[in-house]
Amino acid sequence: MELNKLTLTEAMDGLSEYKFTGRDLVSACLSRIKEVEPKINAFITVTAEAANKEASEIQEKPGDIKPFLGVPAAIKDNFNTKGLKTTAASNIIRDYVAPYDATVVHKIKESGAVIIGKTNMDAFAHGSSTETSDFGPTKNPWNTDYLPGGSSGGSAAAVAADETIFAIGSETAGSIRQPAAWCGVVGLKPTYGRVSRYGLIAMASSTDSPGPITKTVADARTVYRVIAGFDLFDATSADRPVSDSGNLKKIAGLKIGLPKEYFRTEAQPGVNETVMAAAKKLESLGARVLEVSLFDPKYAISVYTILQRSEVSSNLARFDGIRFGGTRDQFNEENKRRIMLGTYTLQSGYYEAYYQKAQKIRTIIIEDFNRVFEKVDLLLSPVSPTTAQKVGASANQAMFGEISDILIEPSSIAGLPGISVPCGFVKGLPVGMQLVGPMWSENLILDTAQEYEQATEWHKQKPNL
Amino acid sequence: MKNNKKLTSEEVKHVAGLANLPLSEKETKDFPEKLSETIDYIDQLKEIPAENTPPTYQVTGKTNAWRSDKSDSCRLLSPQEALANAKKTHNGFFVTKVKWS
Amino acid sequence: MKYIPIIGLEVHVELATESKMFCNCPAEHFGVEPNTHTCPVCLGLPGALPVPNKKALEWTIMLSQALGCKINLESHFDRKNYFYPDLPKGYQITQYERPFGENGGVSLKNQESGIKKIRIRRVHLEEDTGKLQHAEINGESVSLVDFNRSGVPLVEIVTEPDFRSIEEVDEYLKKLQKIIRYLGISNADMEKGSMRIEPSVSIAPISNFKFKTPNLPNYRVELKNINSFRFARKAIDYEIKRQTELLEKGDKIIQQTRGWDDIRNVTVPQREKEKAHDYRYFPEPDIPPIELTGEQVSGIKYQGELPDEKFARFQKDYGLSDYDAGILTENRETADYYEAAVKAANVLVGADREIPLKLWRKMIANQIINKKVNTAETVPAELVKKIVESKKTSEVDEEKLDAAVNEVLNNNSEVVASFKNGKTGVIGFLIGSVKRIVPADPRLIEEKLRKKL
Repeated sequence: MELNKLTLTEAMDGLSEYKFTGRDLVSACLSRIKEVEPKINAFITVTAEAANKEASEIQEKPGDIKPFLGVPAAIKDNFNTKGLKTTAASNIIRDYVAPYDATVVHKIKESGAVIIGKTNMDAFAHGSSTETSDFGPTKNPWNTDYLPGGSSGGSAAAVAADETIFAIGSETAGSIRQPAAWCGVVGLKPTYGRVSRYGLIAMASSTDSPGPITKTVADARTVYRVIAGFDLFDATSADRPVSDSGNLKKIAGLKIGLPKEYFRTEAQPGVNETVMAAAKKLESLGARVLEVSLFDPKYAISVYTILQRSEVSSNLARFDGIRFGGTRDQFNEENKRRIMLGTYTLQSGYYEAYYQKAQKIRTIIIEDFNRVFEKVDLLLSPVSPTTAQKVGASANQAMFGEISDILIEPSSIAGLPGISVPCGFVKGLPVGMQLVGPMWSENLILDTAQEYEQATEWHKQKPNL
Repeated sequence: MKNNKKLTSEEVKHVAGLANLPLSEKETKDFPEKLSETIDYIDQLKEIPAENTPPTYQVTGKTNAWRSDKSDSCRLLSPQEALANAKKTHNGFFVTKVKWS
Repeated sequence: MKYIPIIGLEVHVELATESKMFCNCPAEHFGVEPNTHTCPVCLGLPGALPVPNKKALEWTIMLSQALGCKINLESHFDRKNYFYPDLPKGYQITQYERPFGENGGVSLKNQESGIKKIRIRRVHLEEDTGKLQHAEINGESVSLVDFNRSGVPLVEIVTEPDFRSIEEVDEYLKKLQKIIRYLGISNADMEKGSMRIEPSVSIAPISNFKFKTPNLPNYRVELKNINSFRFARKAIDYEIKRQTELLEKGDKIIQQTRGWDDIRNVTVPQREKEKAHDYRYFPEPDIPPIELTGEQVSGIKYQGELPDEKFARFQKDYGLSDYDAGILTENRETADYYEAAVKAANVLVGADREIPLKLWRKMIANQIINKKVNTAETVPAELVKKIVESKKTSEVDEEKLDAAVNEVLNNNSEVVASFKNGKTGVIGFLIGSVKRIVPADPRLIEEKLRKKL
């Protein structure tokens, strides 16, 4: 048995039944990393020595509740990890060793997981390809000529290539769901405020959401339960119980809306059809599938671009080379472009036309979702209009990410939870479907996705590396 | 008339100054056009009337997030930790050039 | 030509909270080893987030109300973006669009027109920056940065340009300081930097200045680096003179920021502040908005008396002069001490009404004002007892005493002459002579003699 291929659920079961130890799991993942990293480049830092040491010292103490004791985990490199390099895939903090743990990291550690490494990403999460990393692009495990998506491309590729049992990603608008879709794994983007942002290197503060990238929906739920919840250190984190959102609801009788604007004519042939087939599957499981209409997502691109660039320009101002990191010329071109645009849109005289206008249209988008959620329980659409694109595709395409994330941005702007679940292949590359629900409806989303997953085999497919 | 808005290189320099961002020669040359492209895109928002719509700055509707005034050392860094990532330090201080570029 | 100064003030006050504005670090920074009170939040490390200090919010609202401001029930924090080495995040969290307090005022006692109101434009809450100090290291000129002060809560009180003289500025600042100390929200100590002022000064020809609806000049010069009342006076005074000279020469005055150089006693342009600023304000996305109810705001109101109220009551209830009431209400401790002593006098000497209460009040006031009593060491009742003691030996009729003093002075012209020639020791003889006629407290006799001499 190759232990690195286990799902989180299987790993936890095996550990509790003493079929193997955490040390076995960690060393299985580390040897897989050694084997495939030259092809994939999913990690910026691999903490082999520390992870091995930690795993060998694991001791179960009676009374301890450490659900992930001994389970290897990979963390996107924009989460601060105390004593470990935290680079955000940028040259400007290439050697930065964080003096504190992000709340998510703290929770993962407290749960007993062993951090085996920090994963690659677009530098400062500025992208949807992982090509803008200053540490070289990550490749898609399904076909290394292709991109893994991004910005959590390293986390998604590491899970798809079985280099880890599970991974943590972060999404601002697509950065969990889109790479999960392109790499054929599960990615959950929780409601904004559900998971603490403390210690996550900020991209767009008003939409950043940490979340799990896993091999199955059940795994996503398990990790989500560990990392979600109110945090005193994040003023925007929600002060409400994690279990409050709808208990197990059967698909039977569920109303699922297919937003017609999200099945775009310019989509890559096969993608819409694959997702429609998934809709049929849900229907056969008892769901009522109906067409709905939503605000044209193309406007969400503009809203997102403005909000994100503006907040980025301010969030990256702290990188001044005095307390940490290098000088500001070390931002890469994509970073600089975003800082420039955001600085431009926040200027006095432009603020009303851009940032404030975007926040107003955000209100319109939220109201639009509210209206639709009066008719349906969940929305179903493709995650991205295409499957993974070829390495190099993002270069010289200023809006590459925005366009590949067009179907995700509206829900991100509105703060809604969503999940990407594998639902088929087009030309050997995975297609992801997304389920989006109202605020705080993670459980409903997870329940539905899990029932779909159990009725299909897509998540069992593995890339040939 | 759409798409006629171009960011001039003067404006690019001004914005780079505000952003405290040194641009390479290539960036200085490329940015007017690249940024204009994005600006053209986001200008689509002008098509949507929203004068009477209130802005949403916080999607969760949360208000009054605060903490009580208690100091504690749970996150306090030792001076060594605080200074550990700095390029230059001196007697417990961070060091920077006098003139701010 | 004669010019009238037009002055507005921005005053920054550090709140005396236990912890910083957005993190749990101790807010104390005066005389603390550098960079020992920092955490990821106030050091502006990547990923750190701010959570506001409730007490700082409440104190700002309390101060706003004490300054007669209207309170914005809906408020939020904004980011003010600019680069400076003492600003770790590259932006300052402040309140731009919706300050806690707006449209208040402080009344000054203007000699000519009775009472003058200085309008307060806004009172808002923000965070302090770190501290820079210049040094030479290996021949290189550098700045040393200490972030202990970074993130300490700071209230900014902005007036309209309503001051027309340095005296008004002075009176306002003292009054503001007194109010802040009454509220107990800061020691407002300028020397320690917990109160900082930035005047903006311009001048206009007095001949065509409209006092009722001021036609303000189209420029103003902001003054920085002022850390005492004395420097404030000197800097404004210098600036008025400088601007007057320029206008006399027919020059134009440019809008700029100038720093006070306390060695050369001049203001100098601050070059790094000259760059055109565009602070790119936007609502702080890391902090949800603040929505208060009217009741919540009333609940945060200062429950005690403000200096003006106390002053008026002291005059009314105790029959004190402006001068006496002013000194006794200078701070809450003195005022409380005085009231406790008056109360003690009522109890202790209540039955014995040989001295009218009114006189008691005056005597107690004199004891405190002339620092004849160490209020830190003497409880009020003890003070009253002391006065009673001394009265037993020196209970005198003022008229009789005055007459005796005059008599002794008239009968001893030679002694008086030698006193005036510098032999001040002879006063003992005079005191003794008076005491033989009227057995009063020698200190009181001496006081009267010296006045006459």
